[in-house]
Amino acid sequence: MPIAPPEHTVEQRRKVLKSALAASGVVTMGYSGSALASFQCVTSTAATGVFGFKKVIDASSNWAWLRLQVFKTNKDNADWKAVKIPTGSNPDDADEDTNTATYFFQDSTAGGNSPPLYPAGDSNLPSGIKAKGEIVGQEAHAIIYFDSEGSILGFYPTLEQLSGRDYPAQGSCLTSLNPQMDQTNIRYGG
Amino acid sequence: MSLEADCTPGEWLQRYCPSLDGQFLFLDPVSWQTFQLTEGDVTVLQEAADAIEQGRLEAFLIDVEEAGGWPSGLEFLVHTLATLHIPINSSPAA
Repeated sequence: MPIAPPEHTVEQRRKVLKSALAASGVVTMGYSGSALASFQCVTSTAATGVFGFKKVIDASSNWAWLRLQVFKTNKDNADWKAVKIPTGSNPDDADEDTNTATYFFQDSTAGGNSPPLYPAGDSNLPSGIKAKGEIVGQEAHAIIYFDSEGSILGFYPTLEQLSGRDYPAQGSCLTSLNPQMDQTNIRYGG
Repeated sequence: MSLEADCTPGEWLQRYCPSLDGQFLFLDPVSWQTFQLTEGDVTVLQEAADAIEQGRLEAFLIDVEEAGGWPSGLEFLVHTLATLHIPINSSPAA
């Protein structure tokens, strides 16, 4: 049987519907290959929590991530490690001491593949924590935000994502939208 | 390019009706034409998607008529949404 909504919501729904119908303005844009490609770019705008930072990405999907070098800290007896994430939109800045912000995470089994990232000074961090030298061969990944044209706007979490502006992107889409994009430090996966 | 044909109407709206610079861009699942929509249009499509998934599209269409009728172009998009997959446990009884 069809599911009947509760009576008290029916009137509310009709009011919403009436005002929404009055504010209509459908414009036909036609068939567009690049518009279709952009849909592949913007199919997910959820970038909080586990989607923002991953120690390891796999082949389960094709999102574009920024590859980050992992650094030791002076608190590494408690598994604290660091990454240096660009504050602007240039992926070449990753891991450098300039144009980046240092974030710390606890590299433990309990923390899983997407442990929380903490900026320097965060109250969850051990007092006096500092990044030290790189851990050769250990990498992590931050999601990249693009505009609807496929240009990089910034990275998690140095860019605060705004709905309707910043989109994670699929590699297949970027190939169409921005084929000339510099691939330095960019990796694809899920 | 392959889009996911298994979407429910609500899932389709989530995936293929993003907000871009204050407007919304809707991909018609049948023709693959694109449409620029207002927030009001998206509200109507979301209501329609709920109605489709809950098996009460006919009642929804009556509600629209009673609310003043369809604005140009919008009813067509509701019917294209109705061609999408509907969860079995939400389908109306035959």
